Amino acid sequence: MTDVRCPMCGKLNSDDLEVCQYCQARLKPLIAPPDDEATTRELSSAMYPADPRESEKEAEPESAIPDWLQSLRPDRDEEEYAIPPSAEEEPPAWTPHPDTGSLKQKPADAESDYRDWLSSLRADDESEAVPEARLEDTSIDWSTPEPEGEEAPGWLSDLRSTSEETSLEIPAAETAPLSSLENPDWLRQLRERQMGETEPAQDEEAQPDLAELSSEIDTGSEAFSEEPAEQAEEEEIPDWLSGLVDSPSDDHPDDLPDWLVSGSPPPTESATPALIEEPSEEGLTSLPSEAEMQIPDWLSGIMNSQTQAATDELPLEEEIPGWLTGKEKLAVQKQGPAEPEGEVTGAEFEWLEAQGLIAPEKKPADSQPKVVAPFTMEEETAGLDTDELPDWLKEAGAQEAQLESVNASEEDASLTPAALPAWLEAMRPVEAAAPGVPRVDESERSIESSGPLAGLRGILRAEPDIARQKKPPAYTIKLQVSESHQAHAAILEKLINSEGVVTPVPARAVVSRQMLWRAAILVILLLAAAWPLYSGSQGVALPQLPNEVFSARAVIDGLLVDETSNQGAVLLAVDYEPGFAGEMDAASAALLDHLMIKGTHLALVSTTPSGPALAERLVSIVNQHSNHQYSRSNQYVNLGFVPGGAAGLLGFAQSPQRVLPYTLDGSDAWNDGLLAGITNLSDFSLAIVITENPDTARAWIEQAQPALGGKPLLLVVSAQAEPLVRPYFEGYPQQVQGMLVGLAGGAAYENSMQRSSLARQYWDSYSFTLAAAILIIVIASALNALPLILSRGKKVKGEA
Amino acid sequence: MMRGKTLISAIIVIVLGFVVLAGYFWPLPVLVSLRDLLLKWAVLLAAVALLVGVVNLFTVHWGKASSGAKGSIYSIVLIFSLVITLIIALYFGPLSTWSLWIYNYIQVPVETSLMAVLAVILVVAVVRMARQRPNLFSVVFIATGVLMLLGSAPLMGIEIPGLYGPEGLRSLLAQIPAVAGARGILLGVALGVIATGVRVLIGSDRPYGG
Amino acid sequence: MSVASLALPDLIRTFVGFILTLAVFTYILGDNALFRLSIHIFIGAAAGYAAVTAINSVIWPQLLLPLITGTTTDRLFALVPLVLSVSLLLKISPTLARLGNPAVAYLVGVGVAAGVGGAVMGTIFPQVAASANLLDLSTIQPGEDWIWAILKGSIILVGTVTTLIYFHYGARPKLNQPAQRPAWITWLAWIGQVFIAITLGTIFAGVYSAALTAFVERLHFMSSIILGIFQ
Repeated sequence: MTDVRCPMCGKLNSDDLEVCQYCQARLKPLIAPPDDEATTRELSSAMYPADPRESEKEAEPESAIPDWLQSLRPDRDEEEYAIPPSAEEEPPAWTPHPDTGSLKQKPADAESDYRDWLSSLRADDESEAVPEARLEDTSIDWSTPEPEGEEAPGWLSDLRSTSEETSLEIPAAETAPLSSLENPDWLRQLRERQMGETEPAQDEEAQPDLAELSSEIDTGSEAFSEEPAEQAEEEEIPDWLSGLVDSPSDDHPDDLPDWLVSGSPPPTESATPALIEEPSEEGLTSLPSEAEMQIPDWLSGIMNSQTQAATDELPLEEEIPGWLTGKEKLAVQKQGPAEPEGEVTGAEFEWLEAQGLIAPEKKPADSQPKVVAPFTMEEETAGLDTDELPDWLKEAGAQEAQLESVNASEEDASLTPAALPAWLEAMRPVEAAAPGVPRVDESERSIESSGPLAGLRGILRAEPDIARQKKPPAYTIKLQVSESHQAHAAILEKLINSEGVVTPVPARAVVSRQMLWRAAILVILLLAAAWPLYSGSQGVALPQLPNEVFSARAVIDGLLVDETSNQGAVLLAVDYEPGFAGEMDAASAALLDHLMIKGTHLALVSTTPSGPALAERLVSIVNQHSNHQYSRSNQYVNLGFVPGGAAGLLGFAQSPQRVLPYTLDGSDAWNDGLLAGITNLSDFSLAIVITENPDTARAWIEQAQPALGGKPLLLVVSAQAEPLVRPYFEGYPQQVQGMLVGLAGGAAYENSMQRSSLARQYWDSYSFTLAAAILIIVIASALNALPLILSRGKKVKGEA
Repeated sequence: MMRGKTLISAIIVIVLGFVVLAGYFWPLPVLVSLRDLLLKWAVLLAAVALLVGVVNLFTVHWGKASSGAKGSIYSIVLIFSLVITLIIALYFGPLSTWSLWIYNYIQVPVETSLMAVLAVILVVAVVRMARQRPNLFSVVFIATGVLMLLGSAPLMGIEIPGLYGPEGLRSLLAQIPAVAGARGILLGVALGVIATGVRVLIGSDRPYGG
Repeated sequence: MSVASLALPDLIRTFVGFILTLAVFTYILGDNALFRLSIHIFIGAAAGYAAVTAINSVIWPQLLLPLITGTTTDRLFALVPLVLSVSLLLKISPTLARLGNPAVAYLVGVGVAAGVGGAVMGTIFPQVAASANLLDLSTIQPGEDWIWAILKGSIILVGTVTTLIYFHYGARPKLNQPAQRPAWITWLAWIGQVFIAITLGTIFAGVYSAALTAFVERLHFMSSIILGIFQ
């Protein structure tokens, strides 16, 4: 079975499907079932909601039917409306022929069937037959004037005429039965409107009864069936297009183009399509013959019947769309005999037949669904009333009648250029701007094969070219995973899987490699430090005085001490941790010794909780090593602990008596003790801070040094705090007047004092231990870094 | 209620902070007196805060000792040591013989020993650093450290010329590039202190639970 | 010093010190119970001594004593810190800890202000002035070569500035590019990084020197005891 391509999504579907299985779009247009009138009514009611006024419309007398519709009704000859059986999948007759492109595909037999009803359309037209308009193709040249010898399209003149001899030819294929369709709602509305404004002079006969109309439609459809060939070709031609096609008529053989009569292909020299040709009196009479224009048979019959009734109402018949020609039918109805009722035939009236307004002429043998033309001329003009028509349309109708009368007198097949009226001339597109010959892309001449516009040429494709030309990209549903992603996913999976797995903890070695390393280093350092102790040597020279120690020495040397007046009292801040006691004791012992030698009174204070105890310890060590007898409350006082960090220091610096009113042992040193007469820090002759912490040193410098009032501030710091404290000493103005740094500073001070103290004891061992430590660091680092350096060198060489 | 407490704390910080800070720049007698009073109270509160820390230490280890969990023996020892020291020092005084005995023969040896162990640990750390991170700055770091150590004392009695002594390389390194870097660090630290302090003083940061 | 000549109390405390020193030294071989025991003893003793020092040095004479024996004015002045102290003590209780926030705020406010003022007056101004005076010939020490002084000052100035630049992390994000510092700042920061590396190397040397001195001091202590035993 041949697959049908969906007009919406472009995918192939099985032929037996009515809706697309992918997008649910209809594959086959809505059609009325052939013999099921109830279904048709039901369908039409679904399409057109019931109008409350429908009931009264149903009771309308025949006089309610507009004249134009009445005039459209042919004689009640059902044979005229018989719809010939259509070949399977044969395109509608009104669609261009796939081979020739001709719109006109009319079996000769169908012509005679439509004469009568079509003749009713031309009741008021002149008897002159209008040459059938023809179309070779769907392309329209809007600028090309009507070729010489060509007349106004025959379809147009035919429609004007009130000849009863025109017969419609309905293509055999795909004609839709009309009898079973109900009145469309819009038609009823138009009738209602017309009823309200109907001219009283309307002929009742011109108002077709709805029932009669449906029976007529049926009659017309039966009539169509007798000419299957012609019907198949012209069934689906819309109204606007139907005017472009002229059906051959046996009664008016002269009206048929020769090529059409002979059945030969139409001449290549195409005539300008009727719609765009400039009508004129001459033009109308020189419309191309039917042979030159391809018009469906059914329509040609209409045109032939109207040749005698050509009017000059519509000089613009080429440009006025077909639906407007209903205007001429109204005029025709006025002028001429009413068209037989029920003689509504043609594909455009199939909907009427389907609604039961027109009796179908003949049922096709095989009740195939018939395609209903989407619109017809008569449908569009169904509700038009002459009084409602705009003036320009009335004028156009009058001019058309004149044109038709002119055209009817001429039977010459060749078209002569029409004389355009002034107003039409003004509307005519400029030749310079308009293209001369329409450039027709041959590729667009393909015939649409599906959908409601099947059979037409040159229309926009239902499916985009892209869908036709290339295959839609096939996207894999598999996840695109790169190798790195796969590796990461594998790692993650491994981690997750191992989450609940108990991994055995490796047994810890009793003696680890790191333990051995540490033990070895400890032994080496112990041996290096123990040698001087064992040997008792003190041969390593003490360092010379560095600049900062020299400055400190100078400051202390400059102290003036008066024991009686407590002049020269020194504030000694012991602010180091017990862990640094070994270094700080050795660094400050010589300085303290010097102070003790000078007999200065010491005020010990600390900002750490263990500071007071450390201060006591320091004094006792110096006493022990330097043979001093400094005692508490006699030579020194221990003011205790100042908590609060920088805030406490600031408070102590601003008001030391207030912050520490008593000593640690509870005595009042500020009034009766060693610190009598001292109220501020500036009253001290010197302030010495012993600390290992650079932050503590900085706090003392920031908070207390400004309160010293120019008095010197000395620092005894650990070697680790030297870099961060030295800027205070090196800067100008100096904030620190002297510095002793670590064991080396104490040893240097001792060297300057020529007095032995703790530094001297530790110096030799320190020297040996330091050497051993440096040796271990250098050798071990070199051994560890060498492989890396070599490997990097190999890498560089390899890259080079 | 919560908002009110937060506001009170913030007001306290801002008001007191600006009073103390103003004293640095405007040494008015009234301002100085007020500032001294505030600072004195701050010293008091700092001492109480230290007590709170000690009580908290006791509470934590008491809980560990009471629970009987692994390592509770150490908590018992700690509590015992704390109580004993507290009793002795409170009774005899912090500068009494017994108090100083505890300090000199328990606290000082342990802390000094911990510092001494560092001498071994640091050697291992430097060697490991040389093995794992041999980039330019680690090399400069290690080289500077070694040079400074080499110039700090004679090595086994041998003074390395050009390195040791007041005019040696060690002194130059300590006086010039080390001072430059340290000064930059000090300025950076001071700027950070100012920035952080101002944020607290204007109430942007509330580290006091507000 | 002979151990035998020591009195019992001295002998005991000497022995205790020796044992604790050895116990801490065992950490070189790895963490062990002896080490942990010695550490916990130390912590307890240090905490107890710190508490006693705070009480004896500050709380008793400045808070409790005025409340007990002081004048009315003294008592009134002591009332405020008393209230604050009590609120601070409530920090021990988890449920009442919020009541201690005002006291903490007090400490924070005063401490921060002192820190800020000290940083400005004690570090920023003097150190900036010192940096500016590096190239001031009037500040040259007598006997010092001025060329050498200028050179030294220039190096210190460059080092100070580049060190500060190293801590500059401001960067502007660019379109389709990560935020990066300008190239000239990156180069200057690299130079500052060298100075910082030298400074940190010096600090490391100082730390090791302090540790080595402590090591030597402990060795001397132990050797003195050992030698005293055998004497």
